[in-house]
Amino acid sequence: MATIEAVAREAPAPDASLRLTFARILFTPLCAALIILIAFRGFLAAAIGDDWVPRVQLHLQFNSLPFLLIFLPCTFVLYALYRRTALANWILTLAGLAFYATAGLIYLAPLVFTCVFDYVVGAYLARADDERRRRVAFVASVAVQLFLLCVFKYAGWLSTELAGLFAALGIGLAFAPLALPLPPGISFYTFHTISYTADIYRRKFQPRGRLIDYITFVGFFPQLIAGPIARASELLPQVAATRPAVSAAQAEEAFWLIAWGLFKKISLADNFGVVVGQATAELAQPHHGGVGYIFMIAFAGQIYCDFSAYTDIARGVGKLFGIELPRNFLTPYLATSPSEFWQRWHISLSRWLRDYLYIPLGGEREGRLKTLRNLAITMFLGGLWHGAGFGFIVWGLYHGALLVLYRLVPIDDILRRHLKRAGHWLAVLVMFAFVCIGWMFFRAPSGDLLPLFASLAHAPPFSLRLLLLGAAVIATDFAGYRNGSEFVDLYPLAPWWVRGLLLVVVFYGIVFFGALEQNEFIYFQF
Amino acid sequence: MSSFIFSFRAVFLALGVIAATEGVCALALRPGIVERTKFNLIDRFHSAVIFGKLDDFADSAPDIVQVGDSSGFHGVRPDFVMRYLGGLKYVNLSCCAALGYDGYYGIADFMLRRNPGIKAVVLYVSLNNLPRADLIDGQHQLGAFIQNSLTTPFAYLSPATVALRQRIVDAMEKKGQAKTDAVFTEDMRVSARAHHGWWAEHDRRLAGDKRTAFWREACGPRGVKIWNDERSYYAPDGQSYTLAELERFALLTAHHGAKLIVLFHPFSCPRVEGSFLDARRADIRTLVQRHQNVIALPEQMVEPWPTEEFVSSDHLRVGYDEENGKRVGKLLAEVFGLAARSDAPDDLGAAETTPPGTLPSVSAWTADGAVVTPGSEPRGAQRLIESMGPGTHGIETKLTGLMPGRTLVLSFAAKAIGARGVFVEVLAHGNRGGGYCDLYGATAQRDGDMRDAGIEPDPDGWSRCWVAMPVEAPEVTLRLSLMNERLDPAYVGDGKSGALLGLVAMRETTRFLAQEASPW
Repeated sequence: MATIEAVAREAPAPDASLRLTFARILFTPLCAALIILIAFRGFLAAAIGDDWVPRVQLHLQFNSLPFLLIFLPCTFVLYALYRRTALANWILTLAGLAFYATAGLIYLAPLVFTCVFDYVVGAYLARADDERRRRVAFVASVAVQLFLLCVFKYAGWLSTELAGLFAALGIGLAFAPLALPLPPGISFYTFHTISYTADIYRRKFQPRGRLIDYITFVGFFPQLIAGPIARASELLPQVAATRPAVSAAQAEEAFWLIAWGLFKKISLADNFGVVVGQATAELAQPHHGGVGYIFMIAFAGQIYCDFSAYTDIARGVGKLFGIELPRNFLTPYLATSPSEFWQRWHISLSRWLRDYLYIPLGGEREGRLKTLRNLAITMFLGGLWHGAGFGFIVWGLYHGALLVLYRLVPIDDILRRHLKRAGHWLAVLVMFAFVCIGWMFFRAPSGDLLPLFASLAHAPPFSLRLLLLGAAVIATDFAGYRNGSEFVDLYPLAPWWVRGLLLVVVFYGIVFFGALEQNEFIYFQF
Repeated sequence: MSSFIFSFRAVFLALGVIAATEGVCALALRPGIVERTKFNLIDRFHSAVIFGKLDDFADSAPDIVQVGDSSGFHGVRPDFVMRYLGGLKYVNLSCCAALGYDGYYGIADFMLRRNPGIKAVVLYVSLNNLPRADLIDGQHQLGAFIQNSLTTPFAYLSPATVALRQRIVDAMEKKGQAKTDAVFTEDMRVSARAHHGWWAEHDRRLAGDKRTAFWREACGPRGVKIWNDERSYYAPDGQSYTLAELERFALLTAHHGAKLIVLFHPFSCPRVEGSFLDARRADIRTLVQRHQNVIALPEQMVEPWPTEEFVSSDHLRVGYDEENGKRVGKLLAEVFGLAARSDAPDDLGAAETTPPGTLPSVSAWTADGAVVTPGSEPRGAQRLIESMGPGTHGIETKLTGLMPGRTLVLSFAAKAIGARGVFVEVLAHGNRGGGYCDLYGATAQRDGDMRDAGIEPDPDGWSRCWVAMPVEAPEVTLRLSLMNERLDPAYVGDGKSGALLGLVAMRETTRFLAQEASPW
């Protein structure tokens, strides 16, 4: 296996060079034009007439045909043509920004500002020796990032709640609630950039690469909207280096990751979503006993399949461009305790919260009481990170309380001690039940919470769709769990004909069973 | 190179299997473009309706197509419109407001591309659904899907096996779903196909106080809707959404050499006041001035029809769609300069007051999955209790000696004792109609060949339910079944729940049924 540096030094043979030049001349304008066409179709149609521009519009969605059949192949071709040159990351960055701009050109402003600002601060932090000035620069950087996050994400919600509160209390402070648009993925890229400056500040990481490399790191389109929240130390060295061409095995794995992610999103997550919607509608019926079970189990399936599907697709797309993104899930519903759950669920966020919040707060170093306090604070902020709403806060606090509870009463240990293997699986069930209850706070509107919880007093109704979907998730997760991995990562271990049949199953699974609503990924809103 | 390709053998195997399957499917099923593009759409009522319609009419070579919201879907009968059009073919492709103007546009665009002979597109909408910010935002998704599915290059890339998908989805979706759930079933589609795209409304009828409250909310306490021009009818740049959206249609139709005819549904409130109408009329005038191919009558935007003729703000009660079909036909005849002709006879039988025959008392009906016992309640009611186990739980009887072509009204008093409601079914050779009486929700709903259904709350928890059924055969089977909480007549009975039934009566009526009075 050649190293990255050795590959970078390789010079193409003269024939290959000629072919490459010819391919560049042919494909560069074609691919660039196609990307511009689908990304900025609205502008083009307004300028030259709707009928003159093919009706293919790129949206900020992985599960859309323009992304899968035009944007991704074109970006890949451009990248492959210029992989060994300084233009490679320019291509990734410009394509990523074009993809991002489909949500609205205006959203580029905070993203680009964040990138440039933190790149400059990072460079300063790396060079400066005066610790006091470094601290000021670092605090300023974090403050600016958090300010932007708060303004865009929380100001509208907070002002609405305050206006409501003042009105309810009869206080004559009338003001219009703020209604700022929420830049997609701002929570994710803010955490990216904070970890970058924090690692440099703590001298755990030396900045490397050019500004364009840094923008590529932050704005790398597979992970820009919903993570994983990769560290600069993990990603930036990969981005800054000349990456080797993707091998056949890597390409097939990438293809599988994308295909499996699409299957999980379209055929599982969106169908779980239909069950959630039906359960919500059922609440309006006079007899809705037990519907809370359907609601929370279906949403547990929906959010898991949805978010892990996004990560699978992001990992697959990243692999095509020679970038390995970290894993974000590891069969989380088979965890036996809250701490294990958070080591298996949204792993990159859990690590971030641990390293940049929980440990700086004191972690477990200052006694039991403060440890519990730190856990609660961390989970509260973790909940708040997910969105502006009391539901998210309660969800975060609930998980904080679970962590505290298991610290005080290690239910999983007790069950294992007394019931051995059966105790292990019972602990899994108990933890799953706790997690499901938490999802009610996360998903249900506040007005539905009481009826949902009240309905738990009745036996759950039968739902064939939920049963089938749940069986698919349990079977694949169990297969992954037995191998200490995820199902998606077992693919390379299978014989070639099994891999082929898996691809066929995934294809027809989407065609026949996909909910096909082209729903956004849930975590896009965060 | 060969080893490089060989390393993709799993992918090639998959592609080979998929290609072979698709090839076989394409040859065997020969799916049309609409069947294949359903892949891109949401599996819900609206998409099922519009794709069913497009599949039936995509290549039907119409002269005039109608697009728009559900006011036109349920309210314009092409059979009646065409009586005035001198042989021109009129197809109703309206569906639902949920499609939004993007959806209407996509359908019009698709039809104009596939049918170059189309002379006019009728945009038929309710005043309540004129474009405004919240509707445009909320409706964008489905409209965008329709456009993506039908008018983009991807429409031609859908695999042929998608044509099989509907059967699988139906099998999954409809299992366990109540009949009243929003599922566009095959018999509904057959009905829509037979009527050139029209399909009778099947709204739940509100009764009593609920109905009064509904109309007071919709039209104000005096029946005068106060409607002012608002910011939400304008884009952030100040452009009127109505004008902007209609101009898109004008340009589209002009591009294909067709006319755009903008028609508005009859209005369900007696009067409208406020600046809204003036602003919209100004929009329409501007539109007509700017585009030669547009025909719209700004002064006829509002045509109030009695509230009693509507089951909801935008849906005409069954029967009045015929009148509206004639109204649209006359308007179009004027547009196309066709000679006016007198209305076809209504062929409505005169109202009969004499009963067609004696109806056996409930105790004499045959019980099926239920037990009938005398009730201790007044009104001579019988107690109908579901038996334990799955299936339907009801009673049935045969009515003989009926006169085909007549419309009968069956009414009965009912009070729930555990069951949610009573389902009335009329079965005759080749016909089936149903009426749902929801005793808890105080709503009624019709389906199939049933003409209408209604419910009126009475004191002491009683309700009076009625259904109106056209009789097509001298002998029909009449069945009354209990319904569970999902308003489903097929369920697992508990052996205890049921309803009290009494005062079952039948009489003859006209197609125009006596309606509840206005709240005003």
